Amino acid sequence: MMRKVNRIVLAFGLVPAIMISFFGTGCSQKKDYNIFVHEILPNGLDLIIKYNPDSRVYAINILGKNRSLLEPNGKEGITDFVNRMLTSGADGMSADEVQNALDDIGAEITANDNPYIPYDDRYTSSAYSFIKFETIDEYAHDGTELLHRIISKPDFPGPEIRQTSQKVMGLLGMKSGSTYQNARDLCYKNLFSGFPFSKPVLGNRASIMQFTRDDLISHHQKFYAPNNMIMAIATNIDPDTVKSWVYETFGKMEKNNGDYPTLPRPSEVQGRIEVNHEMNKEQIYIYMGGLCPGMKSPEAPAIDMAASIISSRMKENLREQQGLAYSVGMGVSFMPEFGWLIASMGTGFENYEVARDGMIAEINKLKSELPTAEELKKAQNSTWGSMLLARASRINQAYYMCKNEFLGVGYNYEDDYISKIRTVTPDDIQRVVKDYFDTENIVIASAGKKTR
Amino acid sequence: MKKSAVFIFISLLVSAVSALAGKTTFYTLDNGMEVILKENHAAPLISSVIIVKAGSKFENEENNGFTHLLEHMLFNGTVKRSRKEIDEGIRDYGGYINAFTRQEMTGYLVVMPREFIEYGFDIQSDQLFNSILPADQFPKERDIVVEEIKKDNDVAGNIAYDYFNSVKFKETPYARPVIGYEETIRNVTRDEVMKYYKDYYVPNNMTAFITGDFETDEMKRLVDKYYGKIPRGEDPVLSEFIISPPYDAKINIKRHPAKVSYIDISFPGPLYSESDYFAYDVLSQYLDSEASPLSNALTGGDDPLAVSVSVSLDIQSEFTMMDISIRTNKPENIDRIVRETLSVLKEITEKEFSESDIRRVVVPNKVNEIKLEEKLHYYGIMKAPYLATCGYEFLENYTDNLSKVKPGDIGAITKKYFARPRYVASALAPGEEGK
Repeated sequence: MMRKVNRIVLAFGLVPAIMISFFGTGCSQKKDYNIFVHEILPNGLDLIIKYNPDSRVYAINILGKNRSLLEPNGKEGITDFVNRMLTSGADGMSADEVQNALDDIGAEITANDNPYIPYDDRYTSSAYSFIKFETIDEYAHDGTELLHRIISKPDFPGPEIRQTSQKVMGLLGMKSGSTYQNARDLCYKNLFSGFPFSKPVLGNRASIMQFTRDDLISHHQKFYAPNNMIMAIATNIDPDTVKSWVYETFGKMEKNNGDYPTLPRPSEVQGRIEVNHEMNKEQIYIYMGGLCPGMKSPEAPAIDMAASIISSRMKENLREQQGLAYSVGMGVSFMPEFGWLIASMGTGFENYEVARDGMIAEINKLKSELPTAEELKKAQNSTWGSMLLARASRINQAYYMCKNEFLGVGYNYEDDYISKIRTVTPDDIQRVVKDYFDTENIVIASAGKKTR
Repeated sequence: MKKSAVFIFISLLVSAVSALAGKTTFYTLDNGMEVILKENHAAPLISSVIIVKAGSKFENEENNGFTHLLEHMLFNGTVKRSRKEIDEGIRDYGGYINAFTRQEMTGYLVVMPREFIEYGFDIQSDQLFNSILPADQFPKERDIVVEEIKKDNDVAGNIAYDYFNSVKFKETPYARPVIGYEETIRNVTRDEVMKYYKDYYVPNNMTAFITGDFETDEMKRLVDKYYGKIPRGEDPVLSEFIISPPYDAKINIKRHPAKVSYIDISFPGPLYSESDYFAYDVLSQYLDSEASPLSNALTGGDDPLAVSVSVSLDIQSEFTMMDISIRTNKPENIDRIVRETLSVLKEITEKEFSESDIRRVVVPNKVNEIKLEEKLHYYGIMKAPYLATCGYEFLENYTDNLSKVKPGDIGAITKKYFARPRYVASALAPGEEGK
């Protein structure tokens, strides 16, 4: 329905990416209710199919592994660029013909962050890329074939490359005016200095303008090779039937025998690195980051719960008691071998020091006093509820199956994870905060008016 | 059990689930509150959105931003609950609580795991009807709203949106920002907000839109328990306004230090209740497609005029406007973009629309509706404005009515509205005001 989505003014804003645990949900469903098929196809494609009768939506998520690691130096943003060009012409179809073919089956492809939806970038990561495809059951077969044509045979027509460059330059222009985006990029640049995650997902002006058709073809052949993809499908159609469709299409793509390096560990942050991107704005955005253990660590659930408790305390003490901010919070993201903690806040520029010190104080407070049992229970329930909500749609179910598979914990990890966070104790919280929430070795990035 | 046997068993369930999915009931409580119950058993969650016909269009110059500030204050305490008990109480049970304010309405959203929905209703009802707007929380909440205004003012897209409305709807409440201005928020008193609360927050000015994993009969009992006992109030004054946009050939320009230019071209269309509304709606969606002649003219070619274009309808009880929103990196193209847009619309009056043009609008609508039903927290937010303005029947029959549109209907509507189009064109362009 094409009604204008006028500006909606929310009481708390939408929940920023960093405040959402990275896992999906669905934990209260009986395990036997769903049927899963999981196979590695001969060409290396990692395929997961989840069947249940809950919805008519036919959802596919394709995850391309190691986005920033596989982007050549000087070609930052090329994966995002390739994603934008997938519907610009494929397998002999023009851009209009691709769009008409999608419209004929009511299908939608989402392969990039939507800059008009606040905090929608929770799905965007330096670690991987996503391609989300949705239609309904009656168009599922046609949809699978169409998606295969689009992903396996993009044409990268020259005029469309120039148009896409212009579009991305426009997005970079919009982003350059956002304190949130600048603080975030500055934080990642310093937190992951010399590490692939320091590269901006969207690229930069220099990289975007020099992509050639050959660059795009070459990157596409490597990045969207079947052996670098995880494909998850959530459906109400017989999973064996769906599997046969995948074998007929994606199963015929050729494996890439090139070199696929593994992601190293980032270097530890040494000291407190405080950096600002000066902007003449009413608000200053603060983005603090520090490294912590990864999801393979037995401490991961306690770290997640500790971040959730600190997030609630920041909201209560800095927003509700002091009125310093409209949005404030803390969260954690994990890779298998390492993780990173982020706390963020937007506040009036005159409040910078108070806000920064207040955020650090909230983190350090847990080192000397235990959280209450009630606080911990809230954090556990809140995580459980967020997971339920995040996994309500089939497309998010497919997305999180891919993500969990990529992270090496198995596509259906949520039930285990909920059990694990339920066993976390107040002592665990204090221990992980003391050990890993190191406020002396962190990056404090900001964007806004700091010099007066 | 072997997998194939499990599959057959679950397949038998499919028809039952499908038959129940989307079962919708509409009724009115004795106190005048409208209730819509829509079963959806896909996830063990229930969403309750209470729509209050209280929005910024019912404010005046002096109290602009009242409605939004009140929405914030309703999270600050009731006769029997503290602020923490409202917000954290919901989250304690794995729920989600939020609210949103628009020009024509305010919406209060609670999403709960189904086993805790009664707890969610208890808090939501208490919040809506028993809030005390505590005086000690008032200054803090004003500060938060001021921070929100500052945050919005730092985003060029928001400044553009407010500017376009100030031009199109000048001298009506639609010209003012929903969130208000810092000066008005700083000066508002608690007594004024309390009066507004008492006037507008009556059950006969509300609609409950409840979707999710419940059985309708049991849900009716709960709705009656938590909302049915609230006494009816006096019907509030829901003023309507005559808008008179400046339909001239001028392009209104505001300067702002941004790198991207925003352009808005707005055309009047039929009211949602008029017979040719659905043909106009199909036309707007046709134009919004990435394969449309508008998109090709503005964003196609070796040296595109613009980086993006989108078409949408702004539907209110007093008007329908088709808004064409364009972004460009090249402010020197603004005049040309407006001319090119008008030229495309002129050409469209000669186009022979086909059944497949309509199908490419109707099928995505049908699919989107099924997709949206899965996203309980968005579903209510997306549907609430239609319910507030157009009512339940419009919403329920929307897709069917779109599918009844014939090619000739669109041909007729293009000639009626675009042969000699009336429009308002505005732009936010880089630079400093006055230079």
